[in-house]
Amino acid sequence: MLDGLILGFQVALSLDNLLYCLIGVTLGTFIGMLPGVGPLVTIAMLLPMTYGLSPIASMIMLAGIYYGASYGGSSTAILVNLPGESSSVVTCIDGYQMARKGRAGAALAIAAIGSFVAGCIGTFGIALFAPMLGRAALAFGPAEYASLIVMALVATSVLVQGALVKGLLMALLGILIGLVGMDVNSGAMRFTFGLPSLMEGIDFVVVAVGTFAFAEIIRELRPTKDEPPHQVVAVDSLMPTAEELRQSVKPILRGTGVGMICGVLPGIGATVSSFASYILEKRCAKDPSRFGQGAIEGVAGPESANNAASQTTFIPTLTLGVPGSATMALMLGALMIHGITPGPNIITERPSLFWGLVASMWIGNLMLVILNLPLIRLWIVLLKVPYSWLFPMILILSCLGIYTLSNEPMDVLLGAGFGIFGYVVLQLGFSLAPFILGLVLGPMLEENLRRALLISHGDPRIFIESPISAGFLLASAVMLALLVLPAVRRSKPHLEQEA
Amino acid sequence: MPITKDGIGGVLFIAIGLTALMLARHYPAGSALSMGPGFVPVIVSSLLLGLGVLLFCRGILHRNEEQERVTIAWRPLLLVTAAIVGFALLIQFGLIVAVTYLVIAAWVADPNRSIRALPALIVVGIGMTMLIFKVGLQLPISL
Repeated sequence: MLDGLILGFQVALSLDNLLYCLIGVTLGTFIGMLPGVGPLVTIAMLLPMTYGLSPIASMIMLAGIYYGASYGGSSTAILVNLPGESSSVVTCIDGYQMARKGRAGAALAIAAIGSFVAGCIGTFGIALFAPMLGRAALAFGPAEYASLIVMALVATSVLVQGALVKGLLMALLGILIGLVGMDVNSGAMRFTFGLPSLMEGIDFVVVAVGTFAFAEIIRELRPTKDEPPHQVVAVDSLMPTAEELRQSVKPILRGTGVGMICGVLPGIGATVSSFASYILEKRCAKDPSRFGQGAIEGVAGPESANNAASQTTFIPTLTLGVPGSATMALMLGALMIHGITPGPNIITERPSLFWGLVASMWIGNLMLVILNLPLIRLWIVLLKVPYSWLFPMILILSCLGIYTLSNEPMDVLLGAGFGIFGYVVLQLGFSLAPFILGLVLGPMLEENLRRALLISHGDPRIFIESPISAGFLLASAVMLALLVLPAVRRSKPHLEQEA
Repeated sequence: MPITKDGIGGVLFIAIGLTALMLARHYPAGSALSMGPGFVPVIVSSLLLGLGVLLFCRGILHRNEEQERVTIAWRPLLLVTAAIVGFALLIQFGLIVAVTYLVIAAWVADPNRSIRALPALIVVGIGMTMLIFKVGLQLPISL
């Protein structure tokens, strides 16, 4: 592991990669602070622009955007009571109350310190556990992989907002869209409607930009009823008091633990971890009534948890090739564009990519503390950028991004179609996370299913005879069964769409 | 009878499932031992159809849940789509034409638009495009 980390820092500290890391985290913070633009839209929009970079540079930059956006998102949560993304929803509760009491600076500082501590421990966690998981996953055959993919899809469908049936439907539709094009095994054309541009399948970026960027713009442009402009709280001293620091130590560590566990599990991620951490802090507190009135523990815990989860969610994505959230599905798509299929062998086959990314995460977290704390007053200016200026630029970048994939206007038209689709299903109360996960995992599921059944001579019992595979399937069944019980369904917290 | 989100969603997915099933019927299904190109599509579209029916029934039966009406903001939906489609058709005439059109079309779609911002938006839009795609990525797209 030590050799790996040394190699990683050699890669990440090269001038180019440091620059891409800095661009990534700056862009991420920038976008996290902008109202109405989340990390999913950003990553989808910028994916095509990373084609020209080396795989490691593009991963470092995209990862930087991802956790930069979560830092920026918590700043807006504290300052204007507006979560930049779903994992900062909880931070609004006590963070904004602290800001109203004149402790905005302290809240921002604790959020940044908590995130940094969580980031450091999280990075260490990846370095420690990813190789272990990778070695364990070497024992996985096609049956185990097929069951694992089923579990990831079920978990995501269970946890998103809205009904379970809706989540499953979106996951299935994602798989269906992933089947479009030529079947690699038989050469048969599937769902192409005779269109030549569909023969090679629908490009992942076209779907991602359409359903995330285009649909989001349509949603944001609904006629508003003269909403009052957001009141930005003035930021005083950034120094937390000794008392506030002392109160935050345990929540930061507990939050980190919660986040790391949530991040590794498929389908659960930063958003769930921040909710879980908030509930945990409330339980642990001597005086729970302070929560909601500006308790610093309510900022320290969830902010550490969501950052730890953002880091450790890379573990299953990289070592199993099974992303746990929509953002990770985009990351996986980015890697596949570069011809790299993540899996148990990625650490041994591409050590500089894996360790370089791990090291860059730590460096990126350090950059974020520097970027966010002393420069926070600069970033606040961004809160005032009107959406009227933002969305035409997002449209230009998205359209050109799709077009430059293969200089094919048809792709842009397809993207527009997915924009309409994304908007309609969002309005009908569906979530997009299972859809994009199904899209990425669908072809893998089919391939592993085919191989597993070939090995077992067509006997489907292979999926329950292997203990690992049976375990994954049992876990999926338990999740489904739990949710069908009415009592559990009612108490299910309403979570926003997982970023 | 009020139309619920689940009801419409159910109909949408029943339609998708049925269409996919009709198409997938013609692909050779093969056997479990050697799966044909139709094997997974048939399973997936059947599940879509089945769960779509389930969702539709839920929408009919549980009308107290998620009762709120479906709101579709037609104006931005149509105008943003028109902007993107127009861009796809105009890109053959070069970047400047397509981007200028896209900015104007987006500006029309904006409920809070002001005429004074339009020239600046066009200039910034074209400037940004040049900077990123021509200077930065050096892509071979005609102006």
